[in-house]
Amino acid sequence: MGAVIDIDEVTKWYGSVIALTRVTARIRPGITALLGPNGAGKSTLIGIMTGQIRATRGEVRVLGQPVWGNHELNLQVGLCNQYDCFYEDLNAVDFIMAMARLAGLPRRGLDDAVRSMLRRVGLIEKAWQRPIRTYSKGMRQRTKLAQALMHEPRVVFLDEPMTGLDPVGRHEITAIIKGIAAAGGSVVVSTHILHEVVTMTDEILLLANGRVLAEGDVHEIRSSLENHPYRIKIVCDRPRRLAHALSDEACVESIGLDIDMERRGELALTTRRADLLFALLPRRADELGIQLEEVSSPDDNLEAVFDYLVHDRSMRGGF
Amino acid sequence: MRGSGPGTITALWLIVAMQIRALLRRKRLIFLTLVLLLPPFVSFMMKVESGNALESWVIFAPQAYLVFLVPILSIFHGASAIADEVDDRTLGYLLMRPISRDVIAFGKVVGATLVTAALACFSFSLSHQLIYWRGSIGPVFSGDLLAQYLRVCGIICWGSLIYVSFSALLSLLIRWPTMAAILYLALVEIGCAYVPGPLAGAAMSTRLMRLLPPGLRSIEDVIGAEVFREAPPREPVIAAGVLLVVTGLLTIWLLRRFRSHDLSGTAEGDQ
Repeated sequence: MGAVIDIDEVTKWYGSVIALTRVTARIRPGITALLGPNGAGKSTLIGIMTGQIRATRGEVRVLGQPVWGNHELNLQVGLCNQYDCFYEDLNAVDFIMAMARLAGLPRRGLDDAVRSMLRRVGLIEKAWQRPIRTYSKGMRQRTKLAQALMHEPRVVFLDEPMTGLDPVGRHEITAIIKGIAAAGGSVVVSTHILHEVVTMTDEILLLANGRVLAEGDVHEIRSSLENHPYRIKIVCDRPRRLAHALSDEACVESIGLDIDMERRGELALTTRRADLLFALLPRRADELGIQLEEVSSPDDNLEAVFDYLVHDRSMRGGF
Repeated sequence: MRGSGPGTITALWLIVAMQIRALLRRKRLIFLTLVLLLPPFVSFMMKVESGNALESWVIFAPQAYLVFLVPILSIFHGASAIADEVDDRTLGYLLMRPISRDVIAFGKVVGATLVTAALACFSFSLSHQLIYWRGSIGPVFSGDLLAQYLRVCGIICWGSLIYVSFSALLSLLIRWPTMAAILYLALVEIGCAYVPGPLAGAAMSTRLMRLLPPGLRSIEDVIGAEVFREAPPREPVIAAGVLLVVTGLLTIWLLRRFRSHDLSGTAEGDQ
């Protein structure tokens, strides 16, 4: 699948402070999470990808076109930035209308389209005619999202889109983001809150200290972290027996046993070959007549990848 | 609903309308309006107090508008036209639309110029009306007086465009554009205008004054001010030429600067 966004050796300096260092990445269609701790360079990278900030070196191409100085590309790009900034005296309808007119949407039917968009992002109807300065944080966030989506862009950049939203709001916005991707659009979501991303996508671009730490599918990235064997948790009815049977297997590095009063137990294994272990486990359990109740890998997820990568880097003196 | 990008004229009009709306909603407009009401008030007092009001007024009015009011008003509006959007971080919304940066910058300058010129012209209209009032409005805005009035309004508009462009450009170049522009106003526009000799040519207000109709610049030896010197016949043409060049250069410089302007300043610290 071709890349929607090509980031090629992008470096950005703010005076003597370096914000991005030779960032190279290819962002594929669908939802991609731009992750990193505060100050990692996420907003700078979004600014560069949307043509608002000029890279000191390197180039970004969105949909095959260079972004800097290419205003026509904005027909296909939408941005919901992280700043809580508005034309405060306007109400949501007038604001979205003005942005839509500037995006070239025809005047005919625009009023209905704007109202429909405000409904879609979940802005309560009685707020539509009030000045934006009277809006709550969540309402402002929804208004920002509406202006980004109004012209139906093919690529949408969302910088911390969940800020200020309650759990219901987060769920609704997540559904909208997934809807954009399902309709063939691409979304880049920047955040430092991992659980926001978990339900949306496995595709990540992880930044720390202005550098790319990892890029691609989170599970593939996880399996490539050789310094960190997988932790596998197994809940079964005869844990001692299973532990004994698995202790001779080459793919198992270590086994821990935790048995409660009801003689139900939990095995904690570590392995570097999770694929072999997952193939072996049901076979062994079947041979021994052991009933497996739960098999899970607590560190085959985004949070673990994030922790390992960011922690490893700081241990190596990267920060 | 998808669009194909607005036409240049539509985009320009929308930006101008947004700029006008923004300026008219600023709180500082109240202060500026009070300042603008001063010349009509002084004109009124001249009319009431002095038997020779017209002679005093032709000295006072051009100075009041072209050396002080128009530059001050333009500086506030021009410096805030782009800088306020950068500070409020709303400029990003405009930069994310499929319209060229030239249209955004030009639209903002035109919007700020229109507001400045409209306010200054309104104030001048009041002053003009009060001074030439002969019991009815008709004679005040007819014949030679109408021509004189329109010419002054034209000069006010041109002056507004020059000073707005200048201060908008300053706002892209330095951090404290209003302070710098006021300093420039005090040192160059006012300072030089009152120094006899070639230095007066450095002040745009001097050039603007030379475009005034003869009836408004016929007094020669008033406090030795260069701006009131009786201009030889060719001087208005030279002044207009210089002003045209200055207007063009300022506009081109502003557009070029805005084309390369990025929002790094707003992202710095957030990274």
